[in-house]
Amino acid sequence: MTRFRRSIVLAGLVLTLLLLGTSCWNAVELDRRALVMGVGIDKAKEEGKIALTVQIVKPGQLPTPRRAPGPGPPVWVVTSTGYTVFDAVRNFVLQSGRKLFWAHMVVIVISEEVAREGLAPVLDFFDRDAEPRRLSKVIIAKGIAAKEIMKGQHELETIPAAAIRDLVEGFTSVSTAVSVNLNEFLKRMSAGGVEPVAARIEVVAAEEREKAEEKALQSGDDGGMAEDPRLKAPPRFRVTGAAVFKGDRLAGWLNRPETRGYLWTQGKVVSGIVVLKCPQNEKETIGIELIRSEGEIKPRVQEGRVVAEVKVKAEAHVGDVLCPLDLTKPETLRLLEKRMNTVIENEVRAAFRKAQEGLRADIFGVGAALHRSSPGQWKKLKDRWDEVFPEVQVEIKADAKIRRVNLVLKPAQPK
Amino acid sequence: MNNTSSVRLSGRQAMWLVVTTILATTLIFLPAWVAAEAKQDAWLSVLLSMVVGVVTAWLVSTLGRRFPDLTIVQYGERILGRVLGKVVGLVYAAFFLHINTVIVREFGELLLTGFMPETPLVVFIGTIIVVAAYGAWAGPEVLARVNDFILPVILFLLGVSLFLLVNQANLAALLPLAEEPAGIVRGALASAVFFSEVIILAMLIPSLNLRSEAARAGVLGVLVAGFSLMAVTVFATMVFGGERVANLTFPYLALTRIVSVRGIVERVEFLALGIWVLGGFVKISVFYYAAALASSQWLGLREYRSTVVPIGLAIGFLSVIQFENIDQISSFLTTAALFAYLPVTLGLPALLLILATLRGLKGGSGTAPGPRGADKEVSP
Repeated sequence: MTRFRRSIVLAGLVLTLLLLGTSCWNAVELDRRALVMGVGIDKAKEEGKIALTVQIVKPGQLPTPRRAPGPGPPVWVVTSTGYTVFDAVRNFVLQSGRKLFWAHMVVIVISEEVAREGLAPVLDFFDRDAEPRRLSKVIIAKGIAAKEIMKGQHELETIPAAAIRDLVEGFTSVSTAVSVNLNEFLKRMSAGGVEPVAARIEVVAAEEREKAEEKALQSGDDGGMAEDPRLKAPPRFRVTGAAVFKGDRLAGWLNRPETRGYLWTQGKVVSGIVVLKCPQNEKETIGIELIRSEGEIKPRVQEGRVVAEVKVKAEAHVGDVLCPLDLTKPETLRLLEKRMNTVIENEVRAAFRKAQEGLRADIFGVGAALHRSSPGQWKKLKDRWDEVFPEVQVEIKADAKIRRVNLVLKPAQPK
Repeated sequence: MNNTSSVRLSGRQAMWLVVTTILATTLIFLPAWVAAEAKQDAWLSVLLSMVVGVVTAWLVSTLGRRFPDLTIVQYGERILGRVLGKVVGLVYAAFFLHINTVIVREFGELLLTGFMPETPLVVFIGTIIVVAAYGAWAGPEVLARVNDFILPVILFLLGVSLFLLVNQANLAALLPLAEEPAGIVRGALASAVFFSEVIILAMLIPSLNLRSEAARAGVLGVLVAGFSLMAVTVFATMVFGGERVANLTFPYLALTRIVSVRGIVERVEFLALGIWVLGGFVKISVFYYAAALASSQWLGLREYRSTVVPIGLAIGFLSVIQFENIDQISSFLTTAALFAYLPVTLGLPALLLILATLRGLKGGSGTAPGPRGADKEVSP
């Protein structure tokens, strides 16, 4: 009997504790949260202030399997300013009524202007606070305010910030852009002998819009053009090339071939198209599809000079052929491989030229590689690595293999 | 109810308790402190640091073989005489109490920083002390059985979380190997305190059913915990790089937060939370028990349980008031603790062993009761 009573008391105690212990101190229910998907960082008009623009999800406007999306855009774009990033973050409450929730943020877009003055101060909040993840992509807006990027929309993806992330991650199929998350950026920024890079975003539609406006001005008839839906369409973006940093300051940009040259050295070329000239006719072209690649930098010190040996291995298929080329012969493929080697070597050389002469930033990690392979040499060079790197001699060895020609041997020709 | 006539731990259970005690809270932040000195060679520091644990385990278990029924508080008195012995006893009672105040504080700090920033620290500290008080009250045998369940869970969660990071790990980040030997030694010193936690064996040996297994339990326990900590350090270095790890408050928490397998498996910091709370409970309870037993033996009380409540209050108050902020904790543990804790865990046992050998002292039951308070039935 006593045991029975005791178990009743115990059960009561457990139930009470369960009811009391359901929640944490400062719990916020999901529908009361303001989920930030992306943030844009600009300089505010007021001196010394930072302007943040965030995309906050409006859960009611998202399509679900059972319900059509509500009217209006699925995100709310708000701007707030402050003397520090966190100051600006808190000031959002004045407009949103809710504290923002950062755990799901996927992109951090930073204007060129802020990036040139240094990213360390603006990234500290996202590194330090417990909510944001270090998986968010770091993206630099070229020639446009980050705010404008946040305002943009995408036809395929309901949440624009997610679309921007997809654009960045899509680099793998072309290998002419880079994808860098906050962890990778900070890791390179704080390491010696290697400089960070970041994704670069720019507007596509702006030029079209400008052209249309110009045309309207010339014809003196702006009535018709103003109604053109394309003019009112939100800006569209493109992620290409790369932003190059020296320390935490933006030093400049890589264009697309230079970016792929950089990616070759890092073994990060996943896929992409290499365009070669036809052997018989220089005007016609062949598209080669990359399948995989490996890249390696082996630095050594030779007669007082640092020599960086860059080895690139690539495997590819023949993607399309625009000239009558006989692909049944092994010599043809060997010829194409040779031309491909030249293309790879040119791209790597272009990347090095830009990094060494133009930007003087060791994005390849030649210094870090030297540190790994010969720490003694690195110790002597590390303090003046900024002066040594532009003088590094580069030896490039590309080894491309074209393995398959896909479904056709000789291209179909009209007779 | 079963009649638990005597407290008995098997050698394996003792070893598992040692593993949880060293590993549980240490793994969350250790890589940062070691990497601050040794950069990419942090894992070598951890490897080197295990020596301290192995030596401590050997000292304590050798002493335990000489005085199989006594704790260090009791045989300290035998070896050094009443007055000096009482001083040493007080040192150990204070040590077990003090190290627990630090652990309890860390326990609260991580929950506060990483998960519930607006909850008052006292809530975490109060809750864990109440739970650990129950653990200490129940005694080592119960703790060992709980730990039989908890340690496999901890190791499983740890293994899973590290495996999920393989796609972000960069082996080259560990190079160059052994770049600066002095840094590796400094890093090893920074982590020595954690391995010396194997000193709890000095309070547990009388509860072992085969005292001869104490040495094996201690050494193996240090090695299992040490290699697990090394694995965490290696992964932290490979994912964040030697320079970055040194600047992270809780590197292991950061590791679990950055897990991303194709965008599907993400946000697995609950793994860190699970390890932290489960392991923290065992670790705090074990030190709580050691502190209660040591102080009751020092005072000559018959029942160690009569000190459980006052010890708990002391731990609670001290853990809140002795540190003003998180930086004081880490600077204490990496610098001052070396001088405060290592003489107690390494110096004193060595001294006691030398004197006991010179004087040819051996002994059975002590002047004060052993952990026999726990012999009685555990009734809620």
